[in-house]
Amino acid sequence: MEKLKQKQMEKTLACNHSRRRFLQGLLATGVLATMPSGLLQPLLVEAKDLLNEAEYQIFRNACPRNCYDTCSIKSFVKDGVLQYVEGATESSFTAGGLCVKGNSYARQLYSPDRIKYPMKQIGRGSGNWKRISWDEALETISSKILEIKAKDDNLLGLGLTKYSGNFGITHYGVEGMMSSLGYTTRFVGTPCWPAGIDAQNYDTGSMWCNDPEDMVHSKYIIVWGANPAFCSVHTMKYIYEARERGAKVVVIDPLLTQTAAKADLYLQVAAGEDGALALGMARHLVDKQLVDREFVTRYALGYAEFEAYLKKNITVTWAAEKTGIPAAEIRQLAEEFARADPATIWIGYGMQRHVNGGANVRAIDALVAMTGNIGKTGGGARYGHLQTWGFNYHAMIQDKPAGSKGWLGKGGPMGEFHGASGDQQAKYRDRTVNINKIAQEILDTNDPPVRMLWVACKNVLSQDFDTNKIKRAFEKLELIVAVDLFFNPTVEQADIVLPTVTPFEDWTVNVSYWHYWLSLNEQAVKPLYETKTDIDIAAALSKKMNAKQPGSCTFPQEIDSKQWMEKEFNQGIYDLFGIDSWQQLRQGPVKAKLKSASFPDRKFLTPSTKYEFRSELAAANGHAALPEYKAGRKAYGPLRLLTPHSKFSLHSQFQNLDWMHDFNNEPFVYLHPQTAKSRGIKEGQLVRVFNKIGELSMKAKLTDNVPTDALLMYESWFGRKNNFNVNTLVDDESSDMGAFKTGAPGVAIHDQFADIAKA
Amino acid sequence: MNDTQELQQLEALRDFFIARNEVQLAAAYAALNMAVSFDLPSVNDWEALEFSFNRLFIGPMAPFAPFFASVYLEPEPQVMGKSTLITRQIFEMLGLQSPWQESLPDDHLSLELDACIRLLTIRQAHSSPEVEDLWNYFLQEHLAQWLPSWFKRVRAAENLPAAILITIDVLAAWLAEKIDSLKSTDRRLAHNE
Amino acid sequence: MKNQKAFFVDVNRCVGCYTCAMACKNTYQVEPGIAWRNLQSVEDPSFPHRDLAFYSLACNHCEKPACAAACPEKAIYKREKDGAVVIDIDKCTGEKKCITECPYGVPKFNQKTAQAEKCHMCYARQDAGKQPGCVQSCPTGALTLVNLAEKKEGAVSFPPGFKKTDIGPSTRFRLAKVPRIVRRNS
Repeated sequence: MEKLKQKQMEKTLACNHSRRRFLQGLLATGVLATMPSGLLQPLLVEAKDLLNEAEYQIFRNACPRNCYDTCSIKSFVKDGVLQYVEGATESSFTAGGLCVKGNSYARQLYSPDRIKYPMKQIGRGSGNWKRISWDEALETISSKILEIKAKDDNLLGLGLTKYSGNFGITHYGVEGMMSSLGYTTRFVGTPCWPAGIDAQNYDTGSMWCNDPEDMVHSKYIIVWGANPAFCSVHTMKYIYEARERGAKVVVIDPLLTQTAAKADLYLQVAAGEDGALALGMARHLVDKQLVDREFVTRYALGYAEFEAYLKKNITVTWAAEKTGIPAAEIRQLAEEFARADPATIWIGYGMQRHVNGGANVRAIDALVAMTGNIGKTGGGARYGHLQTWGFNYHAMIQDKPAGSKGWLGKGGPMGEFHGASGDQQAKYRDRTVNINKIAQEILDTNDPPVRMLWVACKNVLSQDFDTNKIKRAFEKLELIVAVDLFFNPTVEQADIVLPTVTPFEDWTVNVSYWHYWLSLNEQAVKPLYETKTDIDIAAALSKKMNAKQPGSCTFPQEIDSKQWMEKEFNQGIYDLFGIDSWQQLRQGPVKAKLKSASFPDRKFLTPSTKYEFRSELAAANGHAALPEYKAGRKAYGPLRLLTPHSKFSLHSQFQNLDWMHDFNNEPFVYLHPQTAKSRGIKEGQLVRVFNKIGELSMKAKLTDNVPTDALLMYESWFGRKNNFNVNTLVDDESSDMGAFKTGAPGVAIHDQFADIAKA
Repeated sequence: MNDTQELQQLEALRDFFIARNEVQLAAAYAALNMAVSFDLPSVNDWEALEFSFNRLFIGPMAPFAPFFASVYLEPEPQVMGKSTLITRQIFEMLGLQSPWQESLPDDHLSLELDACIRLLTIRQAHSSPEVEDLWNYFLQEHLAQWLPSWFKRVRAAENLPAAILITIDVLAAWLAEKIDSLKSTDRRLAHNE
Repeated sequence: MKNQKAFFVDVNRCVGCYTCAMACKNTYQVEPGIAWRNLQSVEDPSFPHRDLAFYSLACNHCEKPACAAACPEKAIYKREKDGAVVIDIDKCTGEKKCITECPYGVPKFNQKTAQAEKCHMCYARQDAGKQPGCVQSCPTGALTLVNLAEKKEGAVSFPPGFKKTDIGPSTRFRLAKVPRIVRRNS
């Protein structure tokens, strides 16, 4: 076409008025009346007016991923299409910027790779998929549920595994869907942070960190087993600000992390010996009389016994041997920490992913407490909090169908974010099994076995432990339903996949387990293709179940996800955040009206209302009553395998996007040059990493960021011809704590061992 | 090929590429067989064809050759790009809209083929210079800009079933013929001037 | 030039998170395979630890841009207002002279548009009172836009690994400090 004519046509197309004039011309000829019918429908009058050259529509969104930062997002939409996203400037925490992952959201929404339709696989893992209607998908699913009920006289054969793929509050509707069907089998607990949650609950009766923004007031910051430069980039600015105001920043970690590179001092602790270091420091404080006597006598229980334990069992020299950190360094660190006021420790989730993780957290808590740093602005043993999570969990709380039968044993579903269960008094319960041992639990559970597995907000085959064992366990399942956005390794093994939405196609509300902000998540664009939200899926399933067997599901059959988002709010939330209605959140996120320090009046939620150096609860649950030293896992291979978070992905999320591949397109194993040399491995060479449960191959990168006795690898990959997954080499060994508050112990993710050789 | 045949072919292709299952694929394929002047290769296993069709175009795995124009026209492969909007505007000029607006990108191949059918019908009944301009634009600046890349992608697929290859060939032949006839019109016009 | 705005890269604050690089792609929906801003790992004895110090680099908006001098179509110009070096897409014919002449490898060739493209300092966003996408998104304050005339403490023009030229790149850097490191006794 001639350039001029093409330009003219583009002008016509871009202009409402010209398009309408053209259409009027066509209408005048009468030709449109004789047009054959086809896929395209007559244009609605209102639709014509929707297309205008107006400015962007701005929507409020929130990043719902399992991340400290839970960013408040502003979405810019034009012509019904998300054009780009920005961080909300109204939140001082997000401060107008996202991260490398958040900035890729437009790409996730409009990726041609998304799962678009409900589909069924003919032959698990065969790659032979048929597109099916929602009706057919729900027909198959509901028939299976009714078949299980008929066969077993209960629904315990239906299992749910769901975790943190989307922390929007309405997504608890998935648990609600299960409850509305009957008593089911729930994979409970969390792979993330349970040992530390229990530890803090024994010590303080809660888990409640200071506002991270108050870290600017700290005079001494120890970042212990956390890597915010990768995992909480928005907190780094407060650490920097504290330093500019004179604070010293110390990082304690087995790895020279990106955060360590930004510290004043980096201490390379032996992995899993954090407790020994904390107790060694504590012993030195006792010797130097640097203990805050007021705190330990007025606000604490059992300090004298703890001090006696230290004097009897712990020396700095012993701590130096255990941790590898010279005694002089331990003494200096302890003294500096005790003399700074306020001083704080950020306890990372990495350091509690050990068989002694809970004990290690208790030892560090004790160090912070005995220096009087709890209940102070700029102080605190910072781990996480749930102070802002007091929603109604309306979507989650559903009644059981009349006459439902279930589990008669102890327990019941738990999770770290909610204590609500709805049926505490009921005779029957859901059957709970450990989320962190999904493979073993499926293999071991019988009477009835788990026959059908519903997977939501989770990518089991990337994220759960001992990948090879999970594949074997899946063979026992009769039906696997996966709800997801992309074709990940779990979907690959599913019988039915149901397509779901991105945050931009959904209504929900989000808070953080770290900062104190509340964000609305509006539907910025309509759900693409045939995707549905988690609660829309539950409603559709309920409709189907009730059509087949009236009364078999109590979940409402027609829902409006916006109204359901509204139902999550209550006066408590409004008061906490100082708002009158959720609509105010359309103006931007708001922050909880809390003091910046947790436990500001030093009243604790323990049985004694004091800080409990001695916890009877801990003792009753089979742990030491005092924060005593607990030894780590015995090595089962020559090198420790560390598999922390990457900066480019949240587990397997985001990593599959082509934009991310522009910056990170290949997984590596990182090892110390000495370790490499002893095995004849050179930079960039293809290697095998192997242990008792699996083997992986990748290229090697040599760096002294990693200690000589360890290997470092990041996360799991899928798509773009790479199914690299570190969990092939991570077994499901439990950590010491977690069962008390989350229903199951955590996983000793960093107590893993392997060897490496040239491929 | 007469006008009726041409429309029948386009309708069959449209229905083929928006088919949801093997039954619809088979029906559209049969209709295409009627509309072309030669015998299409026969299909023994329609279920296997459906599996291949889904791997190529639908999912749930990242499809090998998605049939949305913007995947090929945008500087980067994405759906809901600027070219999607242009397609929507063309539909609007014809007084039409997709029944799946916002949930299915407007530049899905079958919707575009449907628009071609409407435009060809209008041209047959009551053409005008404005309609010709719109047709030329849609054909040359849109369809001819992305379809060849898509053909190439599909043809590069491993184990491409003959039935899918032939539908691509039929569509490619139609496109080539249309472009040719436009060029000869252009030449005639240039000669007359 | 009187009014020269410049990227100030505080390598000591930068955590190498790639937010700036992805924010740029987000703002302009830049094609896969092309990045207008990217990170360069500092591989120098001044910071001897792998992949823990970075230069965030885009166009340096030079005082005497080699790209503009090389362009046969005069498609590249320098704005009076802020010194941003901008490719006029209406004039670019894709001759790639800018690509071969830029000593910093800044302009990239887009196969689909058959034109060169690069960072333009988000001049349109700046004109609308906003920060460039990369600067707004930087979570640590490591990347800022400054007036070149304004003196920044510790600023250097040519840090190790950044090519020395006489075309006056405007980007300024502050170098990273290495922490005191205590390794385990083994």
